[in-house]
Amino acid sequence: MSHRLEQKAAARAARVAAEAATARKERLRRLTILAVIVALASAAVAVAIVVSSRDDGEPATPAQASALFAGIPQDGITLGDPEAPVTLEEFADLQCPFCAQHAQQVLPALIADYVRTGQVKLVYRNLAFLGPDSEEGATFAAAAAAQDKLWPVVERFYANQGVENSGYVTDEFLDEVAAGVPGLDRSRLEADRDSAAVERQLAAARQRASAMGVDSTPSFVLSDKQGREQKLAATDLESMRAALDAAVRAQ
Amino acid sequence: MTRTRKAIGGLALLGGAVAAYLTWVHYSGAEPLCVAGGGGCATVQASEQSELVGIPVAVLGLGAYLALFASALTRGELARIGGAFVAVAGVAFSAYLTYAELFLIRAICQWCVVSALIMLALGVLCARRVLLEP
Repeated sequence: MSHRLEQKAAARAARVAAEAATARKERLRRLTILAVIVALASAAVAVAIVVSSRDDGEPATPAQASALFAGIPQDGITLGDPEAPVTLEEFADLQCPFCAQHAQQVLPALIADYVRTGQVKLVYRNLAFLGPDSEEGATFAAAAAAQDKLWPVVERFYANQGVENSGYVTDEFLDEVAAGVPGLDRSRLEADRDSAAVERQLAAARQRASAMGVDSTPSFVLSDKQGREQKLAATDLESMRAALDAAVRAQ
Repeated sequence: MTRTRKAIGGLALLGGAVAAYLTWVHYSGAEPLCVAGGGGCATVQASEQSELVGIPVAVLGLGAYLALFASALTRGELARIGGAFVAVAGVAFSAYLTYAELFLIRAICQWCVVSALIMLALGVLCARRVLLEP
């Protein structure tokens, strides 16, 4: 009798042990599945991001500044007729990819239709907040303003823009940018980078950005001779055209 | 239906609504309603990072939330694994987008933050489902 009871107890213990072992195995199996899911999903996302950024991340081949600015008056950070009734200030960081995209896709049409015709002048407010490469670029472009060549330098910088904060803004990179701007005195520019004028220009940009509540780049502020100022909410071509048309009409 | 699956379904619908709104904004060219103002949403929506391999991020999000909703309605291991894969990928991509907002675009879109938080909760729930669901 007691022997049978012992047998039953042993069988129960064996069953419980087997169930525990199965549960352990199942837990381990599920943990492994989850680990594989995490690894595969993260890898898939990483690959998609890399492929996606490669599509448009290739630096443009070095070339001369386009004919975009030919014949348009330039004075320091200003592009266009100094007497133009409407002023469009651009707040940008040379490293900001969207600033480059905007400069390539939207600005040329605005320059052709509003700046070249003397209705609007453009002012470049050089913000350098993304990192050391921004600061290197900012003093470079700001010094080009002393030679009234800031705008083509900015255009060339954007055309060759590299991966953010990768340390790509080297002397060689800046040489390449400078080589794309005909008539630019590279050694004078280098000397001017440490000048008080450059410091003042960059400080003025920061102050103006803070006064206008600029918190992202590129941002645009439209102003006129009557002292009206307006930060543009949308930066696509159509919205900017509409804002410029309205400002020009109001003159 | 377990409580975890119900929670996944509910959150997926909520996230789907946010993604559907952002998809509509993307295609209509409208300015997204940014709760705190400042145009951060418009900047983010217009940025380079608003598309992944040519597909608008909002559309990807909508697809992911719909897939997660479908996984919540379905029983079995395949649904658990599929749901977890989508949710973990969603969390990883949301983390990248939040980084991009903070350091590349320098603008914050509240809709994206909401979506990232929903996706994070879905990631936790789907992982729990894989580990614990009978």
